[in-house]
Amino acid sequence: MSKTINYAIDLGTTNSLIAHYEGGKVEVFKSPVSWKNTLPSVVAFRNERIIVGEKAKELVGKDPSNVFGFFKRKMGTSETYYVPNLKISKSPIELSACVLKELKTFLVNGEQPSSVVITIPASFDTIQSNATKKAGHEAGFQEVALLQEPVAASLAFANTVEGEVLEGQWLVYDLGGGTFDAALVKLDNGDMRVVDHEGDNYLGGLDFDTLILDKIVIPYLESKAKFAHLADDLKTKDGRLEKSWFELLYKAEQAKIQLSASEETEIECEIEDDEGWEREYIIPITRAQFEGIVADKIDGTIQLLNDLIVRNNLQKSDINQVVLVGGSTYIPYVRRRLTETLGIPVNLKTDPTTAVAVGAAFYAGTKTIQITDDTATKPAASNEKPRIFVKTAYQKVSQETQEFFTAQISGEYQGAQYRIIREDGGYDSGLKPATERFSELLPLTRDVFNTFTLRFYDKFQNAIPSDAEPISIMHGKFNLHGQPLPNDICLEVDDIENHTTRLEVIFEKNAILPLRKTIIRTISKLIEKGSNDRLIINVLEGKRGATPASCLPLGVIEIKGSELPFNLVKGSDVEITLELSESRDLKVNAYLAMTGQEFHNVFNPSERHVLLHKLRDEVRDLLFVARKEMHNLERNERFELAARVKKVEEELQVISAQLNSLRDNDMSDQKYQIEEQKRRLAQSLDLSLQNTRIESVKTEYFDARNETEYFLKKYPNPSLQQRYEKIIAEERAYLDEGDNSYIRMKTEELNTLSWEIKQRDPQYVAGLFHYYAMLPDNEYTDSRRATMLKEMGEKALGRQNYDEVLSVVYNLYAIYPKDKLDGGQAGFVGLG
Amino acid sequence: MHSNHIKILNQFFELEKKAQKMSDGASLQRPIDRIREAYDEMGYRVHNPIGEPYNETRTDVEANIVGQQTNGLVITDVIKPIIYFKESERNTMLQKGIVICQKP
Repeated sequence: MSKTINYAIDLGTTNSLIAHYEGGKVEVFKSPVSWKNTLPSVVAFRNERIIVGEKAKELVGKDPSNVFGFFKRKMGTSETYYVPNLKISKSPIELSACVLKELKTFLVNGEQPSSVVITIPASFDTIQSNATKKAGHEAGFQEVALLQEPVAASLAFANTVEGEVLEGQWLVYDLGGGTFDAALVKLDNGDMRVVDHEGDNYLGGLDFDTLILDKIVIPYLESKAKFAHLADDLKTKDGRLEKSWFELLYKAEQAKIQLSASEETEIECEIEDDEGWEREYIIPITRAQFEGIVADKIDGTIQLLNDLIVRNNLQKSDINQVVLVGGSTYIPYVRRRLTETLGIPVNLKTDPTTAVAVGAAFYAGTKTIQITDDTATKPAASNEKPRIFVKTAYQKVSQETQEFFTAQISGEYQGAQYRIIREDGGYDSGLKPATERFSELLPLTRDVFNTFTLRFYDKFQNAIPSDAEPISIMHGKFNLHGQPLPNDICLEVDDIENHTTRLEVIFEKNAILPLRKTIIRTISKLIEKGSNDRLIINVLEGKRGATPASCLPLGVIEIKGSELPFNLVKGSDVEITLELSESRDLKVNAYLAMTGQEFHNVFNPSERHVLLHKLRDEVRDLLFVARKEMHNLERNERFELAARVKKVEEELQVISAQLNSLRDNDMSDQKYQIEEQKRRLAQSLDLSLQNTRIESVKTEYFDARNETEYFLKKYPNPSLQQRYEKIIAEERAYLDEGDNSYIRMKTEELNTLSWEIKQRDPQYVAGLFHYYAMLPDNEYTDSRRATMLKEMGEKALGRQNYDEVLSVVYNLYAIYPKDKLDGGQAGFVGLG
Repeated sequence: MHSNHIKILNQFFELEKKAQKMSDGASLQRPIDRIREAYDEMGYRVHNPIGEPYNETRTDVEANIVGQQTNGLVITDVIKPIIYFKESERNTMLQKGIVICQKP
């Protein structure tokens, strides 16, 4: 079976594209680096590096002897460009070949086509056409079929009107970034050909952006401030305001695009006037204003179309359609004027920026490959045996902004080029000659895995298979030079349900210093102005699953009621910023959003902060826990463990007595010694009770998991199912690790999820309503509303409208005092 | 999914730039930091490359070069920041920066 070419390239004066036909569909490929489907037809030679596209375009006009654009206009001439960086001359054919080769790298399917369709302007003569063919051959294509651009665009248009019989003539109006072309195309008995054409090589979108600045922005600025030579200052190379010119040009282009969709927009800029004042200006632009300034240029292009019609002795009624090509045809004025002036329907179905490439790909999909030897499109290079062998050396972890990479290669690398690209598209080394050893400085993005690919290309920029692995550099973590944290750094927060406090991890073990984090927590108890109530921000070092008393206190901030200008309400926010320097100084900053007060302290690890009253509280709590657990263990006949706990309890009694005899203003080291003993005892208590504690946490977890599963089965829902699976995805790891607080967090997530599902269960909703309906009206904060809501709920229940019942439940919940619901528990440290 | 966040982050970037220029802009710093941290937690990161060296291998920005020098360039103005999205230690670039470069 004969194969078709399938690949097509729109080799444009300003931009080029590559497209592929397969199974009736056309795909226009995107650059792996710029993500755009257009590649600026610009080539730059920067020392040994060849750059094609966006990055080369940035250098246009800056390094004119080494950077080349618009060479398509010189195709077929004997003109050559001397490149000082290479010390050789390049012909327009060679430069075009560079663009074609670069387009091959867009092919994500990894294929290496040996045949291609390349489009040429209608105006190209035989010599220019042959020059284009030669460029294709130089780019490594063995077979090049040419297609005129207007015909390609017409084909794209023809494929949008599938089923209709297309006969007759139409106009192709191509207004791109820098050139304008018009062509008359005729379809006669299935034969499509360009009858006549017209054009202006120096008109396009960039001219419209400049007009916005010249006719609207500059006059506006001149009317608002003192600018004697604004246009000159902006446009002159090395002029006073050259920097602003580029910013304004970018904003003018954005405004132009905006005006295609809306009636008005504005350009915002900051610019320094002649007196040295930098001010901000907001310049309004309406679509009418924009149309006013571009009308002459656009009307001129339409006149060229008219000339074309007249010259070919046609009536406007002889023309079926106007096919639009080029980004500038998005301008509504272009479309409107074409319709108004010519009275011919304007085709809006094809994407004007890709129409030529798409049409050419349709053509390529029908064109049979002529070359007879077995050189048809090759599969991806990765499927072949490696021909270049690579040994690399680089740091796999780094805290630097860039990392040195070296490679030593062997195999068939003579005449080959290499290229390194960062996976996120943020770095492209460009093409460089591959030598036995080469090196690059690779820029890194912070705190993530930076992955780069190293590829080799032959002189046609076809990929050469190699055994190069992806280059992976982790930035910011596990660096051998950085200091890792030996333990978790945690904050003590209230655990209302369990009448105690627990640890919340702020910085994880092995994180690299320095560290900084801001968290926002709610106050879990009312702290009255002037009272002895306090909010305690206690930062501890220890394992996250442990009890706070067993951890090493690093620093504590106490905010007393006496320091407050007014009551600190339960539920208000406290913003806590913790900073741990490389030398392990801890800086704690607390900001009370409600009062606007800020509290801060710096804790040095060499000095310990022990609050005597807190120490007493902790020892008392530990004693309470030890006694309670001891009884439990004895009741369950676990005598050995009970004896261990009893020993701890006895030692706790001793230090409790010592503590009680200490004065509040004691200056000795005793409180530190006691604190140390307390911590040791808390740790051994922790160790003894760890298993019993983790068992109950796991039981709660499995209860929540079973309930969620039960309701998911009863009310299947794919998205909630997905969430459920995500929650339990790493179940084995966290259950094995026995991290209490993490398992609790997962339990909470499951409870939230099961609540969402339960809301769909009429029985459950009804039960919930009955619970709230049973609570006496006078216990609600608004008893009349409670009565009314209960009645509404009963009615909704009668109608079996469970959504409404649920809404009533929410309303009842909102007016029921929360302290009654959660048993009136108050916080301990005051942080929830 | 990301497009609305990108719009917000671009405005946020503008806001931050303006706050830095205001004489009493410091009062805005706290809510600005909080917004940034909230976005950070969601995985979005706005990077302002101002002051960083520039050369043509940097494809994380689209540059406009002021003056005739093309070596030793530094980013002197940022019209749009670089926006990343991080998911399980992997970075995706959502928006390339738009910058002005010149030789200092």
